[in-house]
Amino acid sequence: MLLEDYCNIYAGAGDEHLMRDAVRRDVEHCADEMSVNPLGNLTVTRKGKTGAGAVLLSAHMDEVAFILRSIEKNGLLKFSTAGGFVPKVLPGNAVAIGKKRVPGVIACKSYHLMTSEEKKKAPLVKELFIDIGASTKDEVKELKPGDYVYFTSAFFIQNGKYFGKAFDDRAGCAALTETLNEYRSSPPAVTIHAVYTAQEEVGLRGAATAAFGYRNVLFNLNLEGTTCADRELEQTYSPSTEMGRGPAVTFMDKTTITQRALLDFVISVAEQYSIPFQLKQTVSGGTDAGMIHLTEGGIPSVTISLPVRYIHGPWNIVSEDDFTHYCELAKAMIREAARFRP
Amino acid sequence: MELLRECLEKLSAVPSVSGFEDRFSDLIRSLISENVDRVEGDALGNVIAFKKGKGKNKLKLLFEAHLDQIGLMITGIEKNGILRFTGIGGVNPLTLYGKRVRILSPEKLYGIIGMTPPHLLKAEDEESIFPIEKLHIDAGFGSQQEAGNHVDIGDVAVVDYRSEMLTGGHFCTSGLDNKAGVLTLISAIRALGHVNLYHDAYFLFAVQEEVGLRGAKVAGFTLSPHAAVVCDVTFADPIGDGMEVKTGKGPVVGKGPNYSPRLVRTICELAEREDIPVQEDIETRPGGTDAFVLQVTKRGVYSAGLFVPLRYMHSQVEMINLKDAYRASKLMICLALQENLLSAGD
Repeated sequence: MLLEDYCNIYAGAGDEHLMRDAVRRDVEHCADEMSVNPLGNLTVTRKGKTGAGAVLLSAHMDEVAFILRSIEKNGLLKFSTAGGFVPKVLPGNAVAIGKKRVPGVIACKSYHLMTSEEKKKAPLVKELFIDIGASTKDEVKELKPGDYVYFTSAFFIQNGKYFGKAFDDRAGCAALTETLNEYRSSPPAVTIHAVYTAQEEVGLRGAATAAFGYRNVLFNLNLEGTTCADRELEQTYSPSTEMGRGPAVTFMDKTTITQRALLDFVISVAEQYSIPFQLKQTVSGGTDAGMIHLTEGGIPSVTISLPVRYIHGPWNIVSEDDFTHYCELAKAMIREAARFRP
Repeated sequence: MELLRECLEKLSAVPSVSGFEDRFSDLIRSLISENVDRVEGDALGNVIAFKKGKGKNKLKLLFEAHLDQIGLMITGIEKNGILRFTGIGGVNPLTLYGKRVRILSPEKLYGIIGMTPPHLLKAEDEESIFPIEKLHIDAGFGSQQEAGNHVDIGDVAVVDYRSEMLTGGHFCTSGLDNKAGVLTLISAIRALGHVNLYHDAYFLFAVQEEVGLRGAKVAGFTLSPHAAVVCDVTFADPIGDGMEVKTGKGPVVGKGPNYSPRLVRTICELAEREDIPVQEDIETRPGGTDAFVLQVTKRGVYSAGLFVPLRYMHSQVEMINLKDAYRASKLMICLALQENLLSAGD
């Protein structure tokens, strides 16, 4: 299964090559053009009818990850985050480090040894260590500062839900690939530029270069994974989205205000195809659309997201049905794109 | 060492939460039954193996390791299908957030202990420690009824883990407190299988240590040994202040009022004679291990503690060095063969 393949791949910001390889493999047979830009974005173009315009599809390849910072005398490793974490989810995780995927763990001080202060306050990232079982610096032979560190959570299915890591935004990548594969044998009505972007989690870096140089772009449809706090309401002010109610359409977040005409268009397409959807209830966070809609003279841009419980943690949950509807909506948007009027 | 690793892999595959140790007890029985004269159980679920000694002045010598580990118990199912839970034993909330758990119901079931992401978490909660009672397990159920078809209140769970050989002879898995001690005892039993012991050896795998030293209390009464050597784990975190004990430097011999000076001296002499490296740990008060209850059984028992150094106690990433367990088992073998255990001068 495509989503499973993508979620299990290790690809943090700046280390996306395995995702690029996987996407190339999956879209080769339906691509007219493929290119990689200096930041590592992979763009796949499937040409439509001449003069019908183009849609820029986007999803980011990178997942939240860590990067080794230093190796201590006692063999422990210090690390930094490449992406946003609540630090208290980190102690006690199994991780894979570097190209050789050296197994290690994020250390968690013995409970009995924690001071009463430590028991009241979660540690900061800079206070945490990774332990690979070494006792001296010399034993840490195969690793060096700069190596990437990943959660090892392997995808599985239970009770109609998908469990795993990195649905943000491998769900989007899978939806892009599925949409392209609709046009394996016959071309789409509009041209599709599908951009698999790099470095979203560290500040929309790939997206800043993703939309440059395309002509006649009708709109950008950005496919994301988003917050879904519908099971921990006491910890937050809003659930943001609810699982099982379909893909979430963003009207505004910290980086983009969706153009009204485009928002209405998404809703009309969803209704036309009887695809359930919801409007995202929070305006926190930002997405690649924040960069893409400001590219060159401006591009109308909308984000549709899969609700992801416990996003940016070692284990996420998404709904099988939501994912199906999310892909359906992406495909329907391409089919109907030509009738969009800004 | 390879045999030790194989054995530990078997042990770590079966969770053994306090009060729910049956499957693990069965595994222990299957691993030792060929090497002892008999294996018995008692009302609390303790596993007691016996091997007769041949010595003229033999003692009843008890080797003990608790076989339970900390865990979680489902305490409620909410209307929306999420599960509430509590800890069994000293569970550190910091080990739970965002982690996957294995619910030990008849069917294989996983759940995630949900944590709000940074985008939505209230600023004042960034660093706060949520108590266990406020957390939930999300197994993907959409309703109370759906959850109720798969999970019962009272089911136990463990934080999920991987069992893996890491760098430098370290093995990482959950429940090494006290699968490390169990491994040590099993390793000693297997080595003694075809040897004539001097002393009558009892091997006690005790239940419910983590909730208050319960199994050892009753088995101590039943067995009433002359001397008891307790094999548990002790702290060896490489982080934190002044931690002198290190993994890989040998088992730790406990010293202090909980331990008989005579028996401790014998262990140290044997270690020196056999060239087995040991470390020392000074406990100025009776400690939190089964030695605490065994020492005061009936008219009193000569007690000692032999501990495997362990990193990150009561987390799912506990880590030991297999060499330390091997060395501890060698010391146990020496004790079972040695005539004078308690005659070292005071």
